[in-house]
Amino acid sequence: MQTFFIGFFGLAAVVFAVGVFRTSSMMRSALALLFSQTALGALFLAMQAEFLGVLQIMMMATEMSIMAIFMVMFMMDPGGLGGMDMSHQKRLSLLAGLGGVVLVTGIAAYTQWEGLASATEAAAADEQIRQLGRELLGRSMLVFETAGITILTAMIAATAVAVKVPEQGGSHES
Amino acid sequence: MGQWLLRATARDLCALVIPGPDVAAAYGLELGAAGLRLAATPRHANVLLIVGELPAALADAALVSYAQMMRPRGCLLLGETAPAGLPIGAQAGLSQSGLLNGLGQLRAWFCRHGYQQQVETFCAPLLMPDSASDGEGDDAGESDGRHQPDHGEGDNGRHGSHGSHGSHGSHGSHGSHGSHGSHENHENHENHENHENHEGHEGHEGHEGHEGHEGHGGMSFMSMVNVTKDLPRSPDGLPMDWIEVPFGPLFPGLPGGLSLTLTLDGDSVAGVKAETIPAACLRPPEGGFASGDLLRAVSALDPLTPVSYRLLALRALAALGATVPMPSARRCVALLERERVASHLGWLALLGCQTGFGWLQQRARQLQLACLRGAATDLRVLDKALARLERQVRRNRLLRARLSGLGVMAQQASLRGPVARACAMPIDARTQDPAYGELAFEPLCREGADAWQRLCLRLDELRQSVALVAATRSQEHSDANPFPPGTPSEAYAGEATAVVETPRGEARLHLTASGGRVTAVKLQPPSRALLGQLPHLLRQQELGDALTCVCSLDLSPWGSAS
Amino acid sequence: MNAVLLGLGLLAGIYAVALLEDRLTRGSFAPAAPLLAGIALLARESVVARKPDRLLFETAPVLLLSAGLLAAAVLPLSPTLVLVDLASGALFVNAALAYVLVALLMAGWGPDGAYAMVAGWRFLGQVIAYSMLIVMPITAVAIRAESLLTTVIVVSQEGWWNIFYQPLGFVLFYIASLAVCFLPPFDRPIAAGELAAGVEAEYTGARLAVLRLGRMVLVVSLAAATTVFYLGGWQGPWLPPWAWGATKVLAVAASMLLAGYYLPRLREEQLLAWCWKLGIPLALLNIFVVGVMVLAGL
Repeated sequence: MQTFFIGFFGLAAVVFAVGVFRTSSMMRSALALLFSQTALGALFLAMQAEFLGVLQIMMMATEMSIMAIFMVMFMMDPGGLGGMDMSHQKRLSLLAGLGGVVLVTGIAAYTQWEGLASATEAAAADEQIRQLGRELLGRSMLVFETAGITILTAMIAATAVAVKVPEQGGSHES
Repeated sequence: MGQWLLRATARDLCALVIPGPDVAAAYGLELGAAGLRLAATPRHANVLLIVGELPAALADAALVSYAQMMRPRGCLLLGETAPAGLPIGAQAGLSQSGLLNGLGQLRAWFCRHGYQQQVETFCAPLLMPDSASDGEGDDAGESDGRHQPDHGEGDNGRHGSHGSHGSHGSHGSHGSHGSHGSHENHENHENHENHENHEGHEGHEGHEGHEGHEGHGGMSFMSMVNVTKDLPRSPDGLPMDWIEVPFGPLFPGLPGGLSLTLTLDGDSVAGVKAETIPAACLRPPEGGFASGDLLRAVSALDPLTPVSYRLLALRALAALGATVPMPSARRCVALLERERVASHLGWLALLGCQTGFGWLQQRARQLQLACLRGAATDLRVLDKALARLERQVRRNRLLRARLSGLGVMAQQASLRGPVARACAMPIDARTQDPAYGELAFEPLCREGADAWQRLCLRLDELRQSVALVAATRSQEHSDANPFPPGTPSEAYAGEATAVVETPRGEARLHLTASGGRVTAVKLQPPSRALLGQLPHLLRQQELGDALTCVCSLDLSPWGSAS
Repeated sequence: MNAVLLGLGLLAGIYAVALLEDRLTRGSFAPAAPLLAGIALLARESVVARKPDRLLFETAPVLLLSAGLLAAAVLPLSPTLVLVDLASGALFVNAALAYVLVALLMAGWGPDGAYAMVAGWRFLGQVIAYSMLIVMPITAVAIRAESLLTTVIVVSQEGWWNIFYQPLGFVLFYIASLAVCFLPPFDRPIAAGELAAGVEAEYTGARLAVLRLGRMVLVVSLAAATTVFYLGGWQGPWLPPWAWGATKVLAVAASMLLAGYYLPRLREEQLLAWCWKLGIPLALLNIFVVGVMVLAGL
């Protein structure tokens, strides 16, 4: 049963991910990415990583929607009605894709799954959350705080760059 | 089964009112009490409620709306003449009892005619033939995607008649939202009637846009800079396609009949085009108006304020030298002020609707109807209710935050009425009226000139008007026509002008007559000057704010077109 | 068994909400009105706009309905009446509610209509305003309960309900929950006076029925969430737990509808300014205060 759901959501994630590139509508593309990520979240759920799954499902909805509005705003043909080809650097992306496949297959093939699978049964969900909390506020705290502050700085910097500087003596503009 | 469904449908009537709920209320119709719900768009309505006689522009809008309504649908006419081509389900008189009676008839009609095996295509003449002809299903109950009768999508933008179905303003906006769907859409263009959207881009149709098409090699991506360089820029510098969206003449947040075409840049307004209802009935017939006909024409001009306009016509005829059945001066004051109370309350209800303030909408509407029906003969009761309303509205911090600073008007000589008085300009035609002078009338003024001050001023005026009515001590007639009977005499000549301070400001009527016939009529309605201010007032406002601005001016579209 | 009971409860709640909404918009009371309106919508034809993004157009109402149902699924009506007692239940409520945004964006984009389009993006702006005010108060609730299990959260409120323990969090969550289910004064995506029903404008017949049903489910879910997080869920004297739960949910739902009836719609800029400049600092303060209170053993 678990295997079935893992397979199902994994497949859904892949199908939606392919969908991202198969459509020229920005909205569909963004939403396909969203649902691909949601399927990944569901995959986590199926793998008994409940907190991570729910978190993934939650975060992606808002993030991808915000990405969608930027895609729609900045792209010239957001509806994809024009039949315009928006792909570029095809050879490079083909090579990168192939490289990725080889890498992932290699990792999958050379990992010693037996040891991992039988090592521990997944802890109960609430125990997992507790452990995760201890981890986040203990050993990994510095890492997470650094990442968080970096992202915040980046956001503030991006906003500052985007704001138009009022010209000297010119009319004030916000 | 079908019958049973129909009976349920007939009991759940959702109406689209033409010209609008404000006009229906001005006629004293209480739609909620009759069990009607109001639809925000024709798509959600199953009853087209026509109130009174429609001018040509609105008759077209009625046809288009009817074409856009989902079946089973019916049409209820309150009044005498139906717009040509509209299948009328039921007809009744223009009164609350008529409404109830008509709804009864319409329910029966629904049960009989709701579903038909053979449905003939209804196509408003203004619609493109192919847009209404495809796939009209035989059973209105079918809700699968098998047939998609597309009621007139796509062409509304052309005559801008239909606010409530904004669909069309928008058709093609997928493409046009970003920069150049409109250029690249060539294959779509053939079956895409709505070229209206693309009007703004004709200038650059066909150059840069094609680059992405033909030269899509490695770096066609960068052509975006080229593609967007000709697009109109909003102040934030982001090039986006602008779309023209019609609001009105049946838009819920605007006075019925007023039709705005807003050019939207995202959700801020980049341009405005206002259309109103032309006063076609004031064009004199061959040989001029007889005075009775003129009186009728002028009083029927604006269903929102019939009393003021009738009084205006009477005064103009009297100034020409005709003997007219004029009510006493005191009575005129009472009539005018009563109408002002009703009109301001109607405006409050519209403001409630526009700003989504349910309580204000319901309460103001209730009081307006009470005032119109003469049920509020006891002025003290009315005054107390108004005082309560005023307190509640003024105390509402959120409403204040919403309206403050919105639509600030500069002082201009052309301003009239409450809008001028909220700019601290004590302009009021009533000051010249000796009857008002006897009552020690002083116009109220406010400073600030924003939407909140206009609201406060109108609230003040409500109380003032009730006090004036009370001061006249005139007996309230509860019959439909408060004017004395009789027709004006036909012996006069020359030119004359009359002025009445309507609830929206001063209306001026200039008559030219010869040989007992009025040969030229020139009307200066109160809202005309304000309509010209709209583009300036709304520029770069957020859509909701822009509509609130328009609403706060209390425009009347009737007869305002020059 | 639980599913059936909860489903019936949800239906009853939806009906009550629809009834009250009908009373407020029309001004007269008709007990059968929501039922008739539902039947009438199902019996009406349902068309698709001329050039829709068909996939998004069809999916949106169903997604909205599912989001509301999923949120409701982890909220207990009584100690035993809960569909799934997820270990991260409180977070899951929030995750499900995030898809309301996705549904409305799809509904706005799908029909290719200007009103709907503007309305859909408007909701995105609204989400940016309110989303922190949903998450942060829930965090404070979880701090007190030391668990994300919704049932444990209810149990943690024995003695002091959270509405008294952290009133600030309650106010913020309540306001944000009005915004989630786009009830007035936050009804910007479906405003009649600004966008002629906005997102709903192009939906007709059965599709509109699903969309409206989805919103009703959302209202009931949010009322249930408020009850569970702040009003002590099923707790109360004399009556059986489920009765207390249901009564509180209905009362909260009614208060949510009534609050909007007496307020005008907010302006976008003010909504954002108030939420970010006032709401988020207050929410952080709330987390801090609750943290101190928990540490102090209150």
